Amino acid sequence: MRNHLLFSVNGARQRVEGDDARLPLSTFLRERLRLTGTKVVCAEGDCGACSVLVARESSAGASGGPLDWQPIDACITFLHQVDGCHLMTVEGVPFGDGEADGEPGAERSASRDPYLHPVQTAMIERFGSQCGFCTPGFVVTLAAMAERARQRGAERLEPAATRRGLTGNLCRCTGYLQILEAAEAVPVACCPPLDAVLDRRLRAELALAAGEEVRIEAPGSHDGAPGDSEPAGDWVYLPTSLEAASAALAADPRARPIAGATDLGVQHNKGRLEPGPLVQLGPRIPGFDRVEIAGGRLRAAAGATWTSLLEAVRDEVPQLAEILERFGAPQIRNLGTIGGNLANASPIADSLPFLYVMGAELELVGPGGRRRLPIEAFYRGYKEIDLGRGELIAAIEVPLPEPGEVLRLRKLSRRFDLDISSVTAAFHLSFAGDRIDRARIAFGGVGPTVLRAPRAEVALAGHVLDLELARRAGRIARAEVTPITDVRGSEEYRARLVERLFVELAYELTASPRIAASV
Amino acid sequence: MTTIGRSIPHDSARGHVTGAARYIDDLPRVEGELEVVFAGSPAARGTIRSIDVEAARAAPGVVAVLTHHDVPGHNRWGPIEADEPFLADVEVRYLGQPVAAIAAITREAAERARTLVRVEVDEEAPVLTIDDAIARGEFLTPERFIRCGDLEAGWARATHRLEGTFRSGGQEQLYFESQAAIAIPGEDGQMVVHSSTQNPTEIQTVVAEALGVGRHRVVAICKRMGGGFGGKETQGSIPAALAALVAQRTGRPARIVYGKDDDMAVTGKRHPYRSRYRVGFDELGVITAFELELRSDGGAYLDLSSAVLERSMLHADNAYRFENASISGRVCRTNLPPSTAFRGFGGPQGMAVIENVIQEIAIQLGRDSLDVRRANAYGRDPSEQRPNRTPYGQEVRANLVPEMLERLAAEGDYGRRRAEIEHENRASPTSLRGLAMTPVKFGISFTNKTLNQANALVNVFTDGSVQVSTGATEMGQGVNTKIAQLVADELGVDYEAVTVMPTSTEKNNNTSPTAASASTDLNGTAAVRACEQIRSRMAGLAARLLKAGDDEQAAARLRFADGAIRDAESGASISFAELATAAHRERLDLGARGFYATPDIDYDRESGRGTPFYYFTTGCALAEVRIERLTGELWVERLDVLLDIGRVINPGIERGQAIGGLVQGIGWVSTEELVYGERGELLSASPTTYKIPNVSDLPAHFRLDFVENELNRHNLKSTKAVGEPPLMLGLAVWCAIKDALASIRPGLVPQLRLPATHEAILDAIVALEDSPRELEAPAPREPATAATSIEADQGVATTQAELRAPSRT
Repeated sequence: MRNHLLFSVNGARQRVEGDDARLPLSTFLRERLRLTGTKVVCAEGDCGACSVLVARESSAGASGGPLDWQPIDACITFLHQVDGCHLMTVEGVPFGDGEADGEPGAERSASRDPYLHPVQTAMIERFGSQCGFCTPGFVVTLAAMAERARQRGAERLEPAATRRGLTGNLCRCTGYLQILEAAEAVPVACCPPLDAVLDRRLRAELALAAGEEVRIEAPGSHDGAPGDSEPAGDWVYLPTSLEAASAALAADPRARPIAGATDLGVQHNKGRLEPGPLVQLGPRIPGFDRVEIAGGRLRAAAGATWTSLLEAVRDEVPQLAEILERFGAPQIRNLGTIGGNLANASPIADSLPFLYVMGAELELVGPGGRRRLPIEAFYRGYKEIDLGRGELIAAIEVPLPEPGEVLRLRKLSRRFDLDISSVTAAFHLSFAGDRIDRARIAFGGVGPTVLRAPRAEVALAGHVLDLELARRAGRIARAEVTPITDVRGSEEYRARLVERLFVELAYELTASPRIAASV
Repeated sequence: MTTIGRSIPHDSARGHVTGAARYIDDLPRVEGELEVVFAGSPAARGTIRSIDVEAARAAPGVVAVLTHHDVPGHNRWGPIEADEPFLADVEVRYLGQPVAAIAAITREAAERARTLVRVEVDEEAPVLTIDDAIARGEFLTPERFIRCGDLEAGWARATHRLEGTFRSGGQEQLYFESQAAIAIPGEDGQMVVHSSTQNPTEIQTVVAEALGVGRHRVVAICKRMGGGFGGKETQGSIPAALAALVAQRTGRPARIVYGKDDDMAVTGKRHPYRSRYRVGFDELGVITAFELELRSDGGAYLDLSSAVLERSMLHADNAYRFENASISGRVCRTNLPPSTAFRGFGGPQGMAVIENVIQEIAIQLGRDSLDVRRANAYGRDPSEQRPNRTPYGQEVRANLVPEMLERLAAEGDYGRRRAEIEHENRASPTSLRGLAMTPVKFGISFTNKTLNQANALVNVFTDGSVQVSTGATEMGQGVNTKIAQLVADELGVDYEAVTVMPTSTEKNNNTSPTAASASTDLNGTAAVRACEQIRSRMAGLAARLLKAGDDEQAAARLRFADGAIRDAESGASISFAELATAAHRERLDLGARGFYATPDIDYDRESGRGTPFYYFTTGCALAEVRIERLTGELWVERLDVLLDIGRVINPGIERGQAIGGLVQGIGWVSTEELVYGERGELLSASPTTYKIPNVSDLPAHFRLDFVENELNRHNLKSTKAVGEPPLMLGLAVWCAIKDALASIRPGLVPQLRLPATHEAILDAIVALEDSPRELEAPAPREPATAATSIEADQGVATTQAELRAPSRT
């Protein structure tokens, strides 16, 4: 068992042991390596200024093939999450011999510089930076997009995809337009491969490391003053099987599991995370990140990231894909896992209403073996879940909508992207002829857990959906939810949305002039 | 080749894209350096009973804990009145107000000790809203007025009237680099402070006063900021003072870097406003009487609030002529952090009211809002029929707003889109579209006349390279690049030969803040004047060397261009570097200091009259929005923008200013909402809950053009300021939302707050849907450009509590 972390930063091997293994990645980069190009603004994964790229060697061993570089938020990533990975910061983006776009309009004598990546050149020439504080995050995110496009053989970044890919990077100065123009000007084919910064020996070593079991004794007070260390006893464990993870959790009641850390990282930065032993779950557990769709069912292992889920459902369940496109941002989706989302038990988790109405089942593994339970039984109250000591979510299975059924998902938030929802909703309807046979409806953000609306479901069943019925069902549902007023909306606003979403559903499903005229 | 007019990249762009550009917290730690945090007040209002810092002092790693007792100078500062303590002493006036400064060997140790400071306060009920403040008689300023014309006569001429209350919310600057400073103690009580500030002179001043030393002992330096937007015009003062107090006390360098949550919780933001208005107008919508009462939320201390309010009052007319008006303004005191500068500096709040009024006039008359704007806009130049005089008496000249409205209406296909939208809004039960075009006319100059001055230092070296130092600070807006261009052209050297140095009070004294959009105007002109002195000395020598003669005409004949000095007559030339070397050999001074004070401005705030502005920057924007009627969700579909910024120095940089400002303005009117709890705590205190525009909020169709203004001869090289004015064009989006909502019940005025969040939009929709049917006006809206008079009064006759229906005079 390895007792330290191994990873690389900008092609240089890093070995970290002890307390430092628990550092946020951004702190390690800025304070230990003095790579201060990575900026911290919000420290909560909501701005992308700390974006860095991560690539994971296949844990099966060195394949030597091109790596998949993904942006993540370094401020909410703990170092122990990146064991076995390659990291790239703005300082390490490789330069190439590429000529940028020859369009007139921008000066280049000052900026044309052989030691720049074409993304950097384009950002300079197209005025993609103003104050510059968010710029490193944009540069690495765009460099990853350019790398993916290059691997595909594309010549340019596609504008709509660029917008979607940049939703995790906020900029307060530019208004974004000149950044988008810079992205369009990037000559993708001239971009040097990002893998170029890695030598083969490093790749082989990390490929091996990515599959190894690791346990680090780390007191967990890395941030203290000298002489202020808490008594040793905390540890970070990176298991290679669920059973081992479960046993480690069962053995020490203080230990907690951690996966993508997109919430725990925030809690840590806000001083709300108690130190303690950690069991870091990740892809070194074989199959832990697998997603498959077969026989009308989606099965996702708990460690599947939202990025892999989104790719899996893009064609099969476009309604869900549309919601997942707005789930956090690329940086969050590259880290966050479905298991973490389920266990975190936020009543406003974007995935849950869908899972509720489709009747998802969780597969849990613990010291007593495996068990399955319906998702609604898993949640007992606000942030209360049915998970015993040492027990872990192994996977989730969801039946997908069948032909003829209607699935409608809604995410309402103050801002379209990179925002936690005010209200989420899922409607799943099956029909017998014109009539609704069965309705399953769930709302998030209007109670301590995601709530079904059983009386509204009954009101819809057996009827043809028209505006009258939708209004009645909306009023019924409104009485079934228990929203509160908070920073994301008032009680009244949320209740109104619940009610009006039924009417919206009716319009959506019945684009008949008869209904339109009766408004 | 001259550089003005060319898109030269930002002078720090390479550093930005490689991560090499350093901000305060990127500076390497030096031996013995301490980290400083502050401990804040546990209550929003009350008297301090005790401050117990013993536990914090004893905490591991802590080196010093300072309270107001440890301020050797005087513990009050403020840009207008010194009313705010660095560390609270007798009372606390907002939640989180700094009470103690903790210095430790690591940031984490300082953060831990922070939780150990105990502040006991005899709490009082805090004042958290403008309404509360007015009810409790809490104000920071007396009431001021701007009046013009004869209101009685105006009311007599009005055939219609409307009145209402308009509220606009605050706005967090959300500069990405939070407040930060490093103080380095020197010999003989000297102190060097690196600060992320728009106002190094203010930092120098407050640090000297806090330390109890003369200003000559303090140097304040700003290399760059990671954004400012007004939020670092004064708000860098407390952190810089705390770092300097620690450095003075301990003799060790001290660094303070606010976390984003702290920064948002305790530093000042844009002022919320409550505005009451009464407007009289005729059948064409021409305003004949305008009465306005502006009340701003200044927060706990004065800061810049009186100046911000003054600018609101001076922009209550926006681009419209008021013949008869009374504009009053007063700053309310609440128990929130002191409100401060934010791009626009009160202008947006003043303009929002009149743009809302125009929308309401249009709704009441059943006319297109564009026609109402046309009918009220200042003309191009004063004429006998239209004196083009602002309520404060300044004449508006060379005003391209009327032309821009027409050009944008034509290029933006206004008429066709208006017809299409009306049709679609009638047909669709779930979707609403809206369209509005709003102008901006923004006065350039500080309204505090004293601040309209600048000095610049230009040093030419014997290799022909040039260093420029001014009081302007670089926060991303590109002022350094533009000044380097001006200097390069003035000396006829390559842009690459010019470097703009970090801003330092050591090189430029008594400077004004980088604010009011005027930094290139002021500092650029001062730099040009310095260059003129150097050039004239060099020209005399060049004339001799080129054997052009030794009279003044000979020197004047010489052209400084392309890195050389050329005699236009003989064609003889000498390179700039050779000439510089020769000048040095001949013992000529190759350095100069330029000074500039804006001429022809004056304003008397007691009488509310004068010429406060050197000129106006103008523009207009056409916005189209779509609203989901059942949920209130909003999309900005299209934006077309025209700006008159005179001669453009750097199209790339100035376009960036325009787009960036506009998108901030859209944020202000739509998604950016500050939410406070009952104790005065900011609930939307981080980017998770406070939502600035995302890339996906940028409209798919976005076009921006600069217009040529041949009439502008006014300013430096016929240029105009660009920093703030575009922000106010965000109001086009808000007006388009109101326009869309007005189609729900034609003739009824939707009640829409600013920001128009999805929730606010849904509130307005529900209120309209729930209003009694009989209020509905049957008259369809007149198409735009219709010249016929309107039977405007048929629709609405009664008033009603919930929804204000317009009434006839």
